[in-house]
Amino acid sequence: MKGYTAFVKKEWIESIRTYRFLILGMVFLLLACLSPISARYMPEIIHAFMPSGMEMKLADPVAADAWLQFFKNFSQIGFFVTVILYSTVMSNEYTRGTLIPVLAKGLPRKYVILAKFTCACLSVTALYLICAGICAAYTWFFWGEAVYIEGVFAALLGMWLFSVLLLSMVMLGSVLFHSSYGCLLFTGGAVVIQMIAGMIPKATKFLPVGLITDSTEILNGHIQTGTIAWQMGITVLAALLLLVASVLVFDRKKL
Amino acid sequence: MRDKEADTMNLEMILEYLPVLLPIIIIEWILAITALVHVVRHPHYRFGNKVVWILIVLFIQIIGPVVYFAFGRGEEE
Repeated sequence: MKGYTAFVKKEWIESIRTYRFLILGMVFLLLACLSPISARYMPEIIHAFMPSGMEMKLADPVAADAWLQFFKNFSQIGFFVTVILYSTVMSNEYTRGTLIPVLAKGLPRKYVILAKFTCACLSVTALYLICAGICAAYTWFFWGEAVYIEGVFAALLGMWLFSVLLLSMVMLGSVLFHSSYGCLLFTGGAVVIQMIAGMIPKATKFLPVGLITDSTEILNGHIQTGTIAWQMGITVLAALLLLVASVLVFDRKKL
Repeated sequence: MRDKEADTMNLEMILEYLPVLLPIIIIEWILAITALVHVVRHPHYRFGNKVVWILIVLFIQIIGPVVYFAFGRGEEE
């Protein structure tokens, strides 16, 4: 267990030194600020750039629009940047051979995977919570008391669970492949396959990706609680399975 | 004539929204400057050269620094 905490600490220091945490934090903060602002001023921006003489009726933005932008931005740019930044989490160690001395000293292999996953999860979770807070603050600033929307907690929880699933996909991808590109392709492929499978109406209930693609419906409360519960349950289960799989694969991997 | 009016309107709009936009501008600059410092101080890149990376980091907001740190940065000595 001591080895595990030591490795988590090492991971944390590494994520500071390689600027991974800084970049992730800045991008997340930016998205959190940008989403409510763009929702609030979108009609005015469109109006300012419209050629004169053209009129377009746009509905006044409401607090829900800010959260819609938040979920849209995070599920696209936010997660994209997360996966790119964490795709090098193992490949750097392979190419530089930095894991060999640690493992030779007797650190159990599973701790490497678990510590890396823990560190990634904690960073993303902390930043995500801060960002949700910032978005809520901006929304409150722009729209006052009408800030509470029924489905917002379900949608937030769903997206957080999906980010954990993404990180576990990244872990499996990076133990399966030697390079970071292999890991990127694996994670991207897993998401795309889910999206394609989502076209089958009966399958949507069991696909974790629904948690981010249907965040509009979750936010409006238009989706059945049962469906969300299924998706969340499967997401947690899948994340655990992927993690176990990456530990098993890494046990047999040649370094 | 109308163009001028539009210009002053835009300026007023920018001034009005400045407090709201300030955090975004600050974040963009923190990213750009950290990346710039790194580009200048570590002259080994996986591809490209110093001039290219400086231009990318300074003129492609947000994406530029992210791409530099994710792909462009060379190995540490």
